[in-house]
Amino acid sequence: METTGKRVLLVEDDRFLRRACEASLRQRGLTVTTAADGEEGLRLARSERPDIILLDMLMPKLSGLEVLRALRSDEATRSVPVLILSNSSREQDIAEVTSLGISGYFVKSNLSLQELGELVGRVLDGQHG
Amino acid sequence: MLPLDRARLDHAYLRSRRFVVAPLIVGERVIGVVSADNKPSRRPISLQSVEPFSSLCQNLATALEESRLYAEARAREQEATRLYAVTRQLATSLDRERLLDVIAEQAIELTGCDAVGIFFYDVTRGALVFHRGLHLPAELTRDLALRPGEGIAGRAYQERQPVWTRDRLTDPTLRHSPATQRLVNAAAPRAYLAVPIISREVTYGVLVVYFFVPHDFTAREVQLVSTLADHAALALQNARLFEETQRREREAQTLSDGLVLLNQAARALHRTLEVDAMLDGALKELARAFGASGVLMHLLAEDGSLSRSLGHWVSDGQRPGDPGRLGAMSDYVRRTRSPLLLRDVTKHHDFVHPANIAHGVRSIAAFPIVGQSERVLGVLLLYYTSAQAFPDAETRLLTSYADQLATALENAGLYEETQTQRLRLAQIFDSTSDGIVLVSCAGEIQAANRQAGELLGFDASAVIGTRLAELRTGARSVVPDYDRVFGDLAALLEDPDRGGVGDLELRRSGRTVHWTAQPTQDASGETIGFTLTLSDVTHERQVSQMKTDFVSFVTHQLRTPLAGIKWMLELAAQTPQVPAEAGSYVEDARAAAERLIGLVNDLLDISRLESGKLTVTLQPTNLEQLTQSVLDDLGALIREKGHRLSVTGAGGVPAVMADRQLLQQVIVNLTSNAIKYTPAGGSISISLGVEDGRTARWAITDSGIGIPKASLARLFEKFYRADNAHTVETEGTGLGLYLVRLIIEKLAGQVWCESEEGRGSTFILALPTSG
Repeated sequence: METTGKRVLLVEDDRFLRRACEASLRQRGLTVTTAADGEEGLRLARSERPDIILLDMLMPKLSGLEVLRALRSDEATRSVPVLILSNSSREQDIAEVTSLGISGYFVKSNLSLQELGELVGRVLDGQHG
Repeated sequence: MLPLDRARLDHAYLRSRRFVVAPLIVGERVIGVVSADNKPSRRPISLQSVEPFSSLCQNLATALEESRLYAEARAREQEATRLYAVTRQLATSLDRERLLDVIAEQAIELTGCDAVGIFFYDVTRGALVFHRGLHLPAELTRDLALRPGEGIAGRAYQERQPVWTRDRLTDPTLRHSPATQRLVNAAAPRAYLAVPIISREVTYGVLVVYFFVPHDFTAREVQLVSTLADHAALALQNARLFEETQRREREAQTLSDGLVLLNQAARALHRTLEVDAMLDGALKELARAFGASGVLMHLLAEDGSLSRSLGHWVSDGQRPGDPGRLGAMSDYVRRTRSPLLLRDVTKHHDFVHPANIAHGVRSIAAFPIVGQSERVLGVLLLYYTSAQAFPDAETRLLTSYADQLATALENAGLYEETQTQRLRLAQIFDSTSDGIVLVSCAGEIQAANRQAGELLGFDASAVIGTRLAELRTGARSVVPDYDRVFGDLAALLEDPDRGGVGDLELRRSGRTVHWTAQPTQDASGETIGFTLTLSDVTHERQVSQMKTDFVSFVTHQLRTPLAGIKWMLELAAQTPQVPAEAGSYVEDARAAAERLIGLVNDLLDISRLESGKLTVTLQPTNLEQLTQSVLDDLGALIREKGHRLSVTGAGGVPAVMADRQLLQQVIVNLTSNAIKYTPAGGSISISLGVEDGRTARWAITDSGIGIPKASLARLFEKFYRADNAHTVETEGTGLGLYLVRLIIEKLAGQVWCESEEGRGSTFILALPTSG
């Protein structure tokens, strides 16, 4: 699995989660850029061209759903893989983002950093393979 | 011409020879003689000339007789013509008074008398008195009263034959009482002829013709007056029969009117609850029909005491002192059960309250109102301000009216009873907080209470008889969502036995109405429609929604910091420089965080299952694979506790129709319970099987602590934990089995537990197969 140096954009408004996630992914050799709200996330997604985006749903300024819509309607970002990290396990919320094209949907508290790292690795791998 | 006998006539002729006398003979009767004297010639009359003379006389006699007979025939003819005219007049009128006028006038015409009188017998005075007097002094016709046998008219009445006197002054047979004698002396004519008016053995009275001067009554006159009297009798009889017929007709009419009145009353009884008001009206009508000034009906209680009185007095002041007690007269009628008729109340001070007399009451009629069970239901009283004779017909009519009244009262009693019950039910119907609508099989609204109208936004009293479909469309469609609601209800109509249940969000009022439809049956068990029960569950739904929202909000808000704790601890655990002791604290913190996360997850699932917002994706699910995957996940735990695990029946179980994720949660919960509540080194066995083609069975048996009998029944309740659960596992929340039940119910399956305390438990799932 060769994911070292891959660029991850982490869009998460909670600073503790952002910090823990960032640290864990860095330990795995990934390059992590973080955004604390949707607007910043979308801007960075366009300018930084990340290999993968970890997207929170409930955020200030732009929600995860709006960010995803914007990404999917832009040719430049249309195919970037997105992992949704949400708090909601409502089928409705899941269905909405799934229809826009995502690589996975997870409830953060049910996911360990270990599992998250492996997921990111698999998605990046899949992209290359 | 003097009548002479034949011997003397012959003798006269023989002696003188100068004059001749010839008899005028008609039949055997000599009506006169003709004498012819021959004095101037002094010549004896020859015997030869006697014979023609005699023959001439015979002719003369015949002529005279013919003339007399002719005059008599003319007179008879005139009489007959007059009599005929009388008869015709008598025959054409049935008016009694008019008839008597005709008779009096014709008596004068026919007999040429000076005056006429007609006497009738007056029962109350026991004497004959004038009913008609023509050309008679007023004091006579006013004051004369003859006892039967007294005077001429009295005798004629008593002897039933004509009696007359030529001159009352010289008639020694005439007898009068001194008072009458004075009146007769002062005012009576001289001669009179009295003929009784008799028909069919009934003597109606006496017809008397008077002459102011002495008069020899001829047989002819007697005959004439008798004929007139006979005609009068006949006419009077006809008039009497006619009057009788008319009276009976009137009686029948009054009776029929009375019955119509009662029928109206009886019908009114069925229309109104206000029986008293109706009866009051009926009594007023009764008083009017019978010319009474006041009418009362006392209604009696079972024990015969006065219950209440209806109707009206002659005046308010007539009401006796104690209105709560039955008067003496009413009480007498109640006891004797027979009518009491007081023609003159002043003679019955024992019966009649003085207040009655003081307020002008003269006559009272009282009738018992006797019901079918022979109970006296009441007393009917009629007060008259004029003296009443109370003829039989009237009392018969009133008695029958009282009978009808009894029937009406009894009907009213029964009606009142059912009305009271109906009213009570109606009150219950309207006072319940739920809306109720009764709908017939044809879809017609038969009843709707006030609440139903308020909930659905229609006038409950105006929709009776309206079809549900009519409510749905047109002007009555005041309820939004009608189509949806009544669409469901229309389906109910197709099979009312099925019933139904649903919620109705009323956009206009913003309220939520929960409806339940249940079939309505008649006494024979036949379904005749359905009853729609509507309850306003807006508040409940709001509370429920708030609870759900709250739980959802809290859990979502909890998840972020929980994930933060979880991830930070994970990072901490990976940090190589952490001392061993601190590392163990971090691990415990991680376990605690996981427990909290699990709890939040359970709460979220429960709130979504409870609110029905969880979307279930049913798909054929391989029970065996699912079990294996769970056992793989939990394998570490099983091994940790040293449990023996066996799975039986695998391989032959058809797929079940279930939501894979939810069912997995159930199996996880049940399996972890088995692991947790079984002391280390125990055995856990899972068996899979199929009951019939349609139900798969999944069971997990452990050799654990078991469940006390008392706890078994409540095992699947929210937050409930078995009494002995704390002895082994203190971390339980009482949510796990509740969640299992919610999920299994959602999957249309069943879950139950068989257990013996200290020996282990078996939890069994029954699930529909996908086949």
